[in-house]
Amino acid sequence: MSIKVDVQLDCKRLSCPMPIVRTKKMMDQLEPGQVIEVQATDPGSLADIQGWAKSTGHQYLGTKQEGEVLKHYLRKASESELQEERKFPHVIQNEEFLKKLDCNEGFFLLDVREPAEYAFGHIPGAYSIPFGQLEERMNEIPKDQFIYVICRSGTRSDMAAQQLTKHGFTNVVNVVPGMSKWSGPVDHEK
Amino acid sequence: MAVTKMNAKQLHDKIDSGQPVLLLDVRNQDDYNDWKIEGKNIQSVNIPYFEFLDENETTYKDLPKDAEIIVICAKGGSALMVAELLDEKGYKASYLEKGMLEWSQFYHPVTVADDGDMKLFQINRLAKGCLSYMVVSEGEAMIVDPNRHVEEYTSLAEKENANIVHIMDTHLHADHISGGQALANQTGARYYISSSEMQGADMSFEPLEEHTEIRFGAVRVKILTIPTPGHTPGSVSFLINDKYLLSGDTLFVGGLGRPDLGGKAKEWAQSLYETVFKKIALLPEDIIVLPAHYADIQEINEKGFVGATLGEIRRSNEIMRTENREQFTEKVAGTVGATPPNYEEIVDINRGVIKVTSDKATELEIGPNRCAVHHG
Repeated sequence: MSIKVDVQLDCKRLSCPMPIVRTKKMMDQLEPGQVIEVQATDPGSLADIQGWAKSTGHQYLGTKQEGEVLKHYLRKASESELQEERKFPHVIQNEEFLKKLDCNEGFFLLDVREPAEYAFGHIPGAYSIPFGQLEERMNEIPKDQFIYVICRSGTRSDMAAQQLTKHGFTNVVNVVPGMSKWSGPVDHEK
Repeated sequence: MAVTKMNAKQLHDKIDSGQPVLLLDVRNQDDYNDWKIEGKNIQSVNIPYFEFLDENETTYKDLPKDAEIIVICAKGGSALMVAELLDEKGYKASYLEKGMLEWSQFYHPVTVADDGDMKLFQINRLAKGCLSYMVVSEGEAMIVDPNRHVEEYTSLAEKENANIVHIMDTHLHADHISGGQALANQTGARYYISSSEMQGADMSFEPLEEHTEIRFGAVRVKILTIPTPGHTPGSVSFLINDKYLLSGDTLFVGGLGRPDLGGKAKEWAQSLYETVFKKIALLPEDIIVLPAHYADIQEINEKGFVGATLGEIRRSNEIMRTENREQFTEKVAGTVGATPPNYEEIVDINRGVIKVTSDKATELEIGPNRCAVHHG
């Protein structure tokens, strides 16, 4: 599984508290929405990264182990996501969408999260275009189908849905709240 | 002001002195909830170290300025960082130099009996709730259920001017790595354990079942092996001078051993029943039971050791009075909790099937003891 990240941070052979201290410093310099890969060898870093992310509100995506190196993936939270303000009128709740998924109706599911978020778990069949690339990759989306847009909390998908409508897509629905509360099937990239 | 460094012994002395002790544990919440330092006079607060990275006064709001705050973490690094931050803000801070890692390797010997002919020590590894024993008589010593930091036993024997001649495990341990074989190699003493515990083992040992009595010292300390299966099929207990029962993990001050670690909970619960009502039942009420573990600091008695008379244990544990076989089995097999971390690997190490480095051993043993059944 290849994961696109914005920054890599080498914390190998550093022991507690340094991996978290360094991650915090780097995170302060990142833009909201950017993804960081923290490489650490201290096994204790896993629980601490998760605990720290929870306490700060940053999004912990997951961890991959390669030999003795743990690669932790985190996404910097943005202010607008925390405000949870949505403008796009057509929404469907997770549970309702799960029913549609179950009866296999023809539709196109667009996942606008970052590749790293997508890699650590997405709905089977979801098509990945990160929100930042939507404008230039719009031609990959079929115009003649129902389009469901999903992200983590419903904010990015809200903006994506607005953008799609502006570009002439007619049947667009935002899935809320999104992957953060998704209880249906999930695929992971190997 | 500067922060004071503290080792495990200094911390234990402080806790033991009876003064109130304030511990600030800066590990993450899960690690803290799973395993922490406890004691009668200890007030413990958990604020993960990463909460201190942001300048935020509310993080400090529960910390008193007038009392010493002892900061604890996993290995010492984060505790030092937090202690220095506290110090800058005018708190009285000290920290445990190597954290829970060091605490997990701290042993505290207590004299249980000293009657001239025989001395009996209980060696308490507080962080794990593991108890081992040394019996000394006439310059010879027997060690029961040693943990892997064997220098604790060699130095204690040296202090008593005794040679270690017998080493035994009451059973194959699942929660900690036995020091039996290593201690035998170092001292030349015999290492005893039941053969049934060591199927497929790759190490030499003296089969315990071939001995009904082991004597050492001019005074002849009488030691009987009483087969007490239940926790594992070859568990034994040692009765010393008809007075002290080293009960392994079969019988605890707070209950019985868990029978589920071999995957045969019902069968082993049956043999535990036989043990409790056919073997232990025959022993007098005033025998002092000294187990290999304890689950709660409340089990440490006013003399400072973990132990109680058989009569007291019968009175305080309903399960010891549950003579109905079905009810007993149901209760014992049905109330087991989480298994000890890494127990399958630890069992293989104790059988000599796999060997690990000291670092790996430390990692495998981290965490609390989970060998006792709690019957509420």
